[in-house]
Amino acid sequence: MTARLRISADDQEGVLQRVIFEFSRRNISIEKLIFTRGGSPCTISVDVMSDADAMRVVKSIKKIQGVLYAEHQLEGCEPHAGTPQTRREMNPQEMLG
Amino acid sequence: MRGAKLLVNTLAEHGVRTIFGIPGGANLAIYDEIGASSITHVLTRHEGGAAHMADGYARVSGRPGICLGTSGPGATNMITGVATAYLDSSPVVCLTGQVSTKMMGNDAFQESNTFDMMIPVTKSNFKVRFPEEIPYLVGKAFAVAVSGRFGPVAIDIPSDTVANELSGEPHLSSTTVTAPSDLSNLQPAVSMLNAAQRPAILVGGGAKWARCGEAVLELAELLGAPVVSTVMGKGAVREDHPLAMGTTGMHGRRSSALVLDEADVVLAIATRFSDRTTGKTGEFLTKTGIIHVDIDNAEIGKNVKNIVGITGNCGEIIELLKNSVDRNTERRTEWMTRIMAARSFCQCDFDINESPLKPQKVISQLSKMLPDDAIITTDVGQHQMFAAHFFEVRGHRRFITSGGLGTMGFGLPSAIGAKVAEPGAKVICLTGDGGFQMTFGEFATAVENRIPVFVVVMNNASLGMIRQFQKQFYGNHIFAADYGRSPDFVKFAESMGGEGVVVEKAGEVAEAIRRGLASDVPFVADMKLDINEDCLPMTPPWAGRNGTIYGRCKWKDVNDGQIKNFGR
Ligand SMILES: Cc1ncc(C[n+]2csc(CCOP(=O)(O)OP(=O)(O)O)c2C)c(N)n1
Ligand SMILES: [Mg+2]
Repeated sequence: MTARLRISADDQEGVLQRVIFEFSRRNISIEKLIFTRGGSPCTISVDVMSDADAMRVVKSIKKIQGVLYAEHQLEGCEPHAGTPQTRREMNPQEMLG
Repeated sequence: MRGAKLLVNTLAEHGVRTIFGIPGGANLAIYDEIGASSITHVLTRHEGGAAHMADGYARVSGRPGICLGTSGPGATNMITGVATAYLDSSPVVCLTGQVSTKMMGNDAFQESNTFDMMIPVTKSNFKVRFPEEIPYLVGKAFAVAVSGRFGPVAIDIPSDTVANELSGEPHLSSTTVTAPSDLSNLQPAVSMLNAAQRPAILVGGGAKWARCGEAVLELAELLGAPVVSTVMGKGAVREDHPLAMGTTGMHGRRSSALVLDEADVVLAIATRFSDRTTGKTGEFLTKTGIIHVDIDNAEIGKNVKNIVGITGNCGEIIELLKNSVDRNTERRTEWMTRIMAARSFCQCDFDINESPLKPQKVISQLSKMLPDDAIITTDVGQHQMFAAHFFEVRGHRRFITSGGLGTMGFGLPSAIGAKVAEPGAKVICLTGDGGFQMTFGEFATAVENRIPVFVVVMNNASLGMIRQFQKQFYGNHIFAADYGRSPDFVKFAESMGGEGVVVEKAGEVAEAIRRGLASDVPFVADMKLDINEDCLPMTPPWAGRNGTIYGRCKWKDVNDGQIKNFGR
């Protein structure tokens, strides 16, 4: 099951890249992405693997300069983002840096 | 008027007095205009140095620091500095030359895709398309850099947009960027603080940007709450205050960890709860009510769950809390006694005047001798963590460090930027022999531009932190950590027109510091340290508090039973 984020943003240079980079920054893989422009604002719809992933990224997407709106539909999810994937089951030496 | 003049005029209108940078083919038109303007230019030895200088300038002044490089390598050289500023929320405005718009996209000479490369390390970035939009974009860049959570902004400037005359009216900017706030949890937070038996405050780096340290201490006094800081938050509150506990985290104080462990409510101000602060997450504030105040809503709930979040300017929120919480120190006398006992117990258990020279000696001597308005910048490694642990940021002292990205080479250039921002203050760069060698070309910049910074090289002939990790966690396999040879740092300084002194014994430290502080040229004190002195205490990230390696820390002999009776 995938989760979807709907984003609308000013059609300014770099906004699409910034949105995409925010997913890789948070270590979340994109399953599907639709970008539509045609006058401002542009819309970006992104599917990710889980609600937890979508929730983890939605606030940082909202704060991107130029993003006007970002939303993830919550359906029976925990009220807070889960522990990032990267924190689980780590070998001690991984944790030094 | 040509674009370059419009750019330089616009920068001056935004209050820019100094630019740190290096020219190249793609930004020469801009240089031509800077030369004819009232703006001072500091010619650095590497663009990375320019970015760190702009960062140091911003951290001291609270205003945007400006760096300028050419296209291609000039721009890529600045990326580490911009990324450093990004993780520590510093408002650097980074200007890069770019090849002409007529050539872009063809892999022209010194063309790099700077615009895309800057995206992940900036808050926002822009590409100039035609000269008329320069004032608009510069205005926007400045507004974004210092709105909400501060951060770096980059502007990529193709050569034709600055080399050519304007053909129309400039586009002006009236941009104001507002950061959303959410105070809906203010009342629940007040109730939590009022009901708390053992409140504590944790301050992060954002409290420094908000310059709300005094208000935090006033709130702490009202509540009877100890104030613990993260490494980035060090210096937000003056550490000579009886409620200031010093730093927590991987190399923090046991007493700080203790008060956080025992607190029933923690008010966390402007911290991202980095893994270096929390350590083993399963043991961090598990039974504590957490109120998290941050200007960046995306931080709330990111690393620590189940918090009561308040989004907004932390200075304003602290004022609101101060006006709403009950004065409750009487009810918390027992807690206060325990805090004071823990605080005063925190000491080293050895003679710091031992030979070979110990880093603790140097830091404690600096702590004693630096003026109360001194600025100390650090590099990254053992010396940085020793300073975070032992140096006392009292009075109006400032502590500037690369806590987020942990960038070696940050110390010297950021000190130069700091000194430019506040020429009247004594600026001390505490660096390692490794970190110093990464950017020590900037020592020449300091000499040439008469920026007398005092460089204290904590010379342990090694990448000390790496050596320590290899000793402790890689079966003592020390590899690629020791320097077979390093330059003679004093001769190096002298060759550039600076001065210096070698220090080998504890008894020589004070005189070296006295000379360094008095010098009117950049000065190096080469402190030859014990290579074997590890930076302890240290709590490895997986270990939890029972796994702390104490070293010479007095807490090493204290068992759980004794801790229970502490101050009781
Ligand atoms: C640019 C960069 N490269 C590598 C590292 C990894 N690193 C962290 S601390 C350290 C050793 C620093 O050595 P030195 O500057 O001599 O300081 P010391 O630990 O000896 O006090 C290294 C290599 C880093 N933080 N930054
Ligand atoms: Mg070293």
